Amino acid sequence: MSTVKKSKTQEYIKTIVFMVAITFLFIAPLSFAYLKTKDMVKQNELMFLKKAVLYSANIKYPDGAKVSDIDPIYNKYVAEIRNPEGKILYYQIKDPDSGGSIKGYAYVTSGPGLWGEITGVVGVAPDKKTVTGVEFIKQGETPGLGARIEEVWFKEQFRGKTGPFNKTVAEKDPAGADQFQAITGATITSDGVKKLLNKTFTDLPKITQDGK
Amino acid sequence: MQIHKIKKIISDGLGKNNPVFYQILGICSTLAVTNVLKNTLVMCLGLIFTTALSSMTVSFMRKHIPTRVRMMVEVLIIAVYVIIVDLVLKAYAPDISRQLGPYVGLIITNCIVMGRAEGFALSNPPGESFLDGIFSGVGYSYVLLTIAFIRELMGSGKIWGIQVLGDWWTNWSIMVMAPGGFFMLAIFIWIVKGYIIKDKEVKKA
Repeated sequence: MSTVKKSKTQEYIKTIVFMVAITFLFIAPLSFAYLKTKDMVKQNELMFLKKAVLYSANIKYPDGAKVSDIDPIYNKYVAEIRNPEGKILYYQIKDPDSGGSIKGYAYVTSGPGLWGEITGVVGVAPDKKTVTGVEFIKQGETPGLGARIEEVWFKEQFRGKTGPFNKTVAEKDPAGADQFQAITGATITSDGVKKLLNKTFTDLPKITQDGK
Repeated sequence: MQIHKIKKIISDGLGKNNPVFYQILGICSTLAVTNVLKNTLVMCLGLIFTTALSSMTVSFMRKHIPTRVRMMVEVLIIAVYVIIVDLVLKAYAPDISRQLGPYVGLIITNCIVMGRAEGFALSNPPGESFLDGIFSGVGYSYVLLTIAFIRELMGSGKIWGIQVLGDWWTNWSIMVMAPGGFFMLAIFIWIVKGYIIKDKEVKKA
């Protein structure tokens, strides 16, 4: 009886030791791969955000631009306005041709979609009402339906519109200045987009006044 | 490796024992990713890579893994390969990675990978397990790509993101949603099992 028990304990210990050892063995190369790619992943994300800010401010950058191409353009046009803790509150878009006067703002806003949070960058003119552009940086909507908010036609329609938006119209229908075309089959996503865009028009005037 | 064994592995993966329409495995991803062809292809490549390498690794270790924890070990091995795919995509192909979102991580839970590790790799040598992984993956891929082709075409009038159907075509929104996946998969299984595999079974009897 006791020998059976002992061998069982031994078997347990052997199993546990095996599991721990094998975990270390496999996690080691994985950690190495993570450390190797960490900086690149971070850079990709930062670069993506910078591109989104430029896009929302309607500042053109070459297609397939590398980090080295984006940074000079970004630094020339964009000033990051941070709070005392160092968190970016909003972006000031400067006009370098007229001594750096402000020609707009970009603001990161987010809100619920159908499946999760949608985050977008909204660019506005100095009146804080006229939209210069919209770009979505994070969304997990249904591919082929809600995820189509990333399609060019959808994003481009916002340029020149006046917020806050109070109505969405059907896809391909003409939309007024405070309306935009929703995506067919993605009502909740389109509605979420409307709400998160509208946050810009209430939030931004408040924080830009603080920032002064 | 003998020729007849290789032949069997290939025909099993592609036809007789196909993971999707015969074993009905990997259905979750079949429904989730097949509404756009491009995502489907990347998913398939990721799955082939993971199944082949994880089966091979499990097979190498099969004599040392304690039976009690074999599934934990299998999941660990699968997860390692999947995370490597995810990291590589994030670092070197950020755009594709963004489009695929959570799908790459979901390969870990794809029953086919686990099924091949359990059902084949634990009792076969590494070379054969590797091949088995590849052909199970290919068997999965061609079914998914067929379904994705039809769903993308009917659901958004596009193939590979390029508009092919004109204005006269009204998109079937249901095709890009999950129910469309159910219908297509059911029709696919119906056709294959009703007209192709059935003949073989009758002959056998």
